[in-house]
Amino acid sequence: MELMKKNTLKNRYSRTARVLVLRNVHVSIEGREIVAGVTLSISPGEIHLLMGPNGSGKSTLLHAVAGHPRTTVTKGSMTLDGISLSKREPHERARAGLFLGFQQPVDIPGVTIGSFLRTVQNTLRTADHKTTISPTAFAAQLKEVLVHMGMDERFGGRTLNERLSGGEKKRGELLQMVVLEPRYALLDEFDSGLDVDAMRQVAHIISEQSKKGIGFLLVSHNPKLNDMLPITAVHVMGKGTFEASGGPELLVTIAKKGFGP
Amino acid sequence: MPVLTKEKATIKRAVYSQVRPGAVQVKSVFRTPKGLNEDIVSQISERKNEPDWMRDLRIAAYGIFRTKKMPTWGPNLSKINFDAITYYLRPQEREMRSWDDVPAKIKETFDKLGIPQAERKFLAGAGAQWESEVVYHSLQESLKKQGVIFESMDEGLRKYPYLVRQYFGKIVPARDNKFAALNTAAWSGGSFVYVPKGVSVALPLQAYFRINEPNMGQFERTLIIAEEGSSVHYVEGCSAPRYTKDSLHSAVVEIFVKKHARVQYTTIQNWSGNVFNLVTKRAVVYEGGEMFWLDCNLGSKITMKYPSIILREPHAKGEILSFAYAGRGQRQDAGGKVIHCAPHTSSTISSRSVSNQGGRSSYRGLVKVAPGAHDATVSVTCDALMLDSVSRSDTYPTIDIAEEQVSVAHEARVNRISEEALFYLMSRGLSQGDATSLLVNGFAQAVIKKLPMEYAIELHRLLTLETKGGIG
Repeated sequence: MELMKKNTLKNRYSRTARVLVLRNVHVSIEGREIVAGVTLSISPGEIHLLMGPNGSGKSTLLHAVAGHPRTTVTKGSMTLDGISLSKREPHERARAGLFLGFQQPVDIPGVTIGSFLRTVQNTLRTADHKTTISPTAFAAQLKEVLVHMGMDERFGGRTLNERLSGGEKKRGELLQMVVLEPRYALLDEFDSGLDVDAMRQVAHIISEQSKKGIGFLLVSHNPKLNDMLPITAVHVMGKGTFEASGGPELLVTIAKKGFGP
Repeated sequence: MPVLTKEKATIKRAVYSQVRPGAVQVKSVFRTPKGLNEDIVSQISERKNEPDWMRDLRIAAYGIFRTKKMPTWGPNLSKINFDAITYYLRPQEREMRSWDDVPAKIKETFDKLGIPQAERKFLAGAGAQWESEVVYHSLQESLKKQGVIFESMDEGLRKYPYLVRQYFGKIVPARDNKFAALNTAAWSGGSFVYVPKGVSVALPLQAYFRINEPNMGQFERTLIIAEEGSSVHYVEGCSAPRYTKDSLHSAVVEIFVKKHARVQYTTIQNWSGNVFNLVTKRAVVYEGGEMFWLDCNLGSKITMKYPSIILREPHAKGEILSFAYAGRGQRQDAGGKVIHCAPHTSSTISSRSVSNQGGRSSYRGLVKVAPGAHDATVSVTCDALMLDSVSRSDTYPTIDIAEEQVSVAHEARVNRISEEALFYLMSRGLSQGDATSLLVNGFAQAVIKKLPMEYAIELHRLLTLETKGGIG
């Protein structure tokens, strides 16, 4: 009985290979194909960079992996550590270990970042049959993370995304990722609007988290990221497919020539 | 969730229980036969040993009730069967000053509702009404010594007849509306609060109203007098078990806010879905005084309630903050009224409503600036949140301005739970139901943050229970 109880989504697949795999994924929105066959595999600790011009389907791909209701995966498969994601609700994907950092996170009026994160963390812990965290213990934990990330200790008292600057929103998304400890993080334009110092801090946190075993898929327009991050692979997207994939050396070409052929 | 970040949130029992307690069998010591007539009105008065003037007032009010038409401008009230209702039921011989003396069954229910615990924790005084009568009442000794009176309305009339006669029915006369007339004819219980000049009652006074029997009518009557420079916060809570037969709750509340006094009146109503809740609440504010109605309506079949403020003298202030949740089969018709009668008066009405599962909530408000009330400031904001497409929300604002030099702001917004917000929250691991609850609580936060901590936790909990099932 005890065994059965512990048979949660995460545990059930812990014996299978740990890897996030997208195989020939096609995504449509309202009948229009935006992503036309993408194959990708991210292992724990890897940092994959997804680049490409606006409108090439990068965000749509990320949203489809996270299960946005307006995206339809028409073909292909997506598995997280052996769990098929395709038919799961967004919250089930999150509970399996997926995190999506939004390019433009939605305002949630009346809800503070701290209380939100505690609610989510306790929801995830309950789903995992773990004990919940008391408000005081959580406050201490959050403070520690904020200090570590070089953020204002009072950030937890701010309203979720409402009246946050562009940079604060980005760091807020990263904060959520650090607190929620996913297995794989998809971060959409995580670096836009950040100044040089903030960028360095964010890059530092990402490489640190990758060392802890989180696999990353980062969407960015910055070809100089390699100076700050140990990039595993680079994928260039255009018109819904990967036009090029390779190691960080690909960034040199992009920096020189842009995304054009 | 926001309110739970503070440490006090670990209090296991808030003011109201973890569950809605069910009905219990309680013997009554006296009850009138079903229905209302002049004889029954006299019986109630005799039973209470009232002075003649009160009996005459009741009988006159009964006449007004019989001739007044039902209000037709709002929700449909034709389902109320006045003949099926028990208008007066006395559960015990007299009011108790100690919980130990309250009948066991009644005590158990109030225990489940957390009433005595709440009193020990954060109240200056507490009252508990069961059907028609207040069964328990207490007030801190230090406040008694300062001359503060906090009694049931019946005790108030017995002990301070001159005070009651001076103020009773002066703001809400029987002829005001059909239900005010009914209350004046059949009133029983409620609170009488008197705060002498310059006295501040730091902790809230609380009264809890419980209907237990089916087809019961509860007609409490509350009168609050805050003398010059005084301040008081009165809190009322209401609940009833679920029956297939309808009950009627029709209260009248009158509040006198004298010069530079401040009164806050907080309601958290969680009636079951078979209660018609038709209440007249009105305050009159004198020079520099301040009245604040904080009115939270969950539950009931139909609620019609528009807390009102008459700003009678210069620099008087009024604020009405109302929150309503209309679920399946519910109609919340709430809002507020402010009448500016003097210059330099200011008022704020904010209404927030949530409609779910076909429920309907309406904001109905009136702001009137009378001739001569120059330099008045008026602000009205209505926010409605719709959780699905079968629910409904309307606003019926009336603004009537007879002065030129007046500042008036009016805003109304209808919000829906956006797919993007739901996806954002779900992508973090919250189910659709949990995500919806979080959004609703966030929407209600403007109200929740104004409540005392224990009530904030309770409102949060009630909203979570109501919305956890998700949308539709």
